[in-house]
Amino acid sequence: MKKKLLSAIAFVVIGFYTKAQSIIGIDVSSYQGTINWTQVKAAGVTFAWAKATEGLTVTDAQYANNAVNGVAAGVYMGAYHFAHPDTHTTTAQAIAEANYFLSVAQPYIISCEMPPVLDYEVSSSLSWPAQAAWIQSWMNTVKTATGITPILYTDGSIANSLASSSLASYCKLWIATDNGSATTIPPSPLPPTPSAYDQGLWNPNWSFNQYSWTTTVSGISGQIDADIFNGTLTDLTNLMVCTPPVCHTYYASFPYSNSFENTWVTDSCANIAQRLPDIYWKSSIGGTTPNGDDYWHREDYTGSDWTSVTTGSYTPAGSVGNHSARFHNDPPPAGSTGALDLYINLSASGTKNVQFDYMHNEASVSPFTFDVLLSTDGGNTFSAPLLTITSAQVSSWTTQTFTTNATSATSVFRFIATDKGSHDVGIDNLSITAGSTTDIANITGNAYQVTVYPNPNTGEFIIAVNDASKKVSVDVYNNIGQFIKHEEAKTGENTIHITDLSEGVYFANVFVDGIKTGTQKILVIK
Amino acid sequence: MKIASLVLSLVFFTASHMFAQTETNTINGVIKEVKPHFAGQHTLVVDETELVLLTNPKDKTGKSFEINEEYKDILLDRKGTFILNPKYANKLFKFTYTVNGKGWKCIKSISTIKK
Repeated sequence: MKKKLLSAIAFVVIGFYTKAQSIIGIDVSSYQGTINWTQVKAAGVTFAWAKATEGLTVTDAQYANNAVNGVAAGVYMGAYHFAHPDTHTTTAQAIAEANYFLSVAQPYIISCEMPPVLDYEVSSSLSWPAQAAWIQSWMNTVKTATGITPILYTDGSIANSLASSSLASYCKLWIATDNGSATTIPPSPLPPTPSAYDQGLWNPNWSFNQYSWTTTVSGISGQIDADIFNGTLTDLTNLMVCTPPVCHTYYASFPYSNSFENTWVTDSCANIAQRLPDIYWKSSIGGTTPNGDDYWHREDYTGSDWTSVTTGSYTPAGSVGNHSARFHNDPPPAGSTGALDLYINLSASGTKNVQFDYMHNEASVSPFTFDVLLSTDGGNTFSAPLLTITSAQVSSWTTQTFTTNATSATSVFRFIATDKGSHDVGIDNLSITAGSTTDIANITGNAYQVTVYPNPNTGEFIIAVNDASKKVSVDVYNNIGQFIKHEEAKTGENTIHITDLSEGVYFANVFVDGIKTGTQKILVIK
Repeated sequence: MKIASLVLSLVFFTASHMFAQTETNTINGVIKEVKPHFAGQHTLVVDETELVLLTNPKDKTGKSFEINEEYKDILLDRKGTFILNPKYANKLFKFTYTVNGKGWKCIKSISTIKK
């Protein structure tokens, strides 16, 4: 009897210990819709990977929401990329897929993040050594950019077929094998250890096991994939990289525009959220006794590094849309500066027009400077100011323009301010475009002589094509790429009359007989 | 007391269905092709749509499937390669499926279409 009792106690203790050690996670994508991460966390989920990208063009519609809301709920989050070695067969394309993943996920890869994952499950016609090289190229690119070694997600067949590669000593394995365990979280009973075959080259050192494809959990509609970590919670947190990711530089394509409407992204150089308009920008402070107030943010920023933010006025909040980029600087250490740098590839030949709206509703502040500088060597050295604004009061948004003939692929525009006053400095509605399309004159384009007039205008203008026998249509986009309207000319007519556009910069794609003939820039000034 | 029980039942029903329910989709079509899928699973190409037929995880042979009983023989093992059972070729079926985290369209059941 005693023996039986002791056995029962041992069974319970061992069972409890085993359960206490089971670290359970899930992996999700837009197929799960909007997720209640608070409920997911409460259900016992410790970690999760959210799909970020696929191939070279697909961004998961829920990735940003999942990345932000999962972390907010206390779930250790990571991002995964769905590889397409079937259609992108070269290592150069593997690197391109990695860069596409980084362009989407890196702003959300923060300190103490689950390592990024390469989801390698699509069959490829490549040889196994070539597939190993493909995987290695993707991983090297992501590791160089983030400082974190990614994890490989795959199945037993592939894990075995990669046996001649060195991947097992390079990255950890997340193995997919639905072995019939319970479809609940936590699983009961615990899933068995993946077989030696399924672990392949990594045997016996698997790290994660996707043990179910049909699990349900509170907070998510439908069935999901469930995963278990091969270790303790301490092991898991040791696996995560809890130092700021390596800073990375991305160059925007030319032409470029930004009216600062979107939520700003994480500064991966400093690991600070909402500090950069998008991944093409960097931020820095300098001068005398710089502090957090000297960083630029979107004008409605509420983070702790801005103090006394309601001192003085800053209205209207933007010249176009609802938001703008704002240099706060209050309280004002005299002489400290804030710089906001745009990295852009200007290798296209020809003159570039730079245009933005500016506001600083305060007169005779000292010290005060506002300059725009240009670097053609990736930000190592900067020119003398291309544009300087003095301390004169600019009480409402006012358009500023200048041109440059720079052709460097590693150009950097620096917007830098010093301000001691109580009214902040703002910029908005930035556009960098080819000089030939920004001239304030009528526009003639391509073989069909597309004409836009008047330009600039007050919101009403005409697009004409010199051939009434053709079917003419136009798609109008605003300067952040949002579709505004589609208009078609009536049969037998060659003009389109556009009305009711609000002030701002627009781009019109003109189509003749369904073929795009070019893009015309349109400036609306009320 | 009865009202309290009713309210509790309603709360439980709502809570248990709000998130745990599985959204089911349907498609009608002819099985055009059978091919291997990731992790030992199988793909049935139904017209232009790829549906995943999950193997029964409790059967370690990998030769039985998570499908309604009358279609358990939908695939036949021919020396390690699974082919469509000829009796299901060129016939129109209704497939119900759910989409999992990887975007796999996992078949839940197959049925004939009544004309």
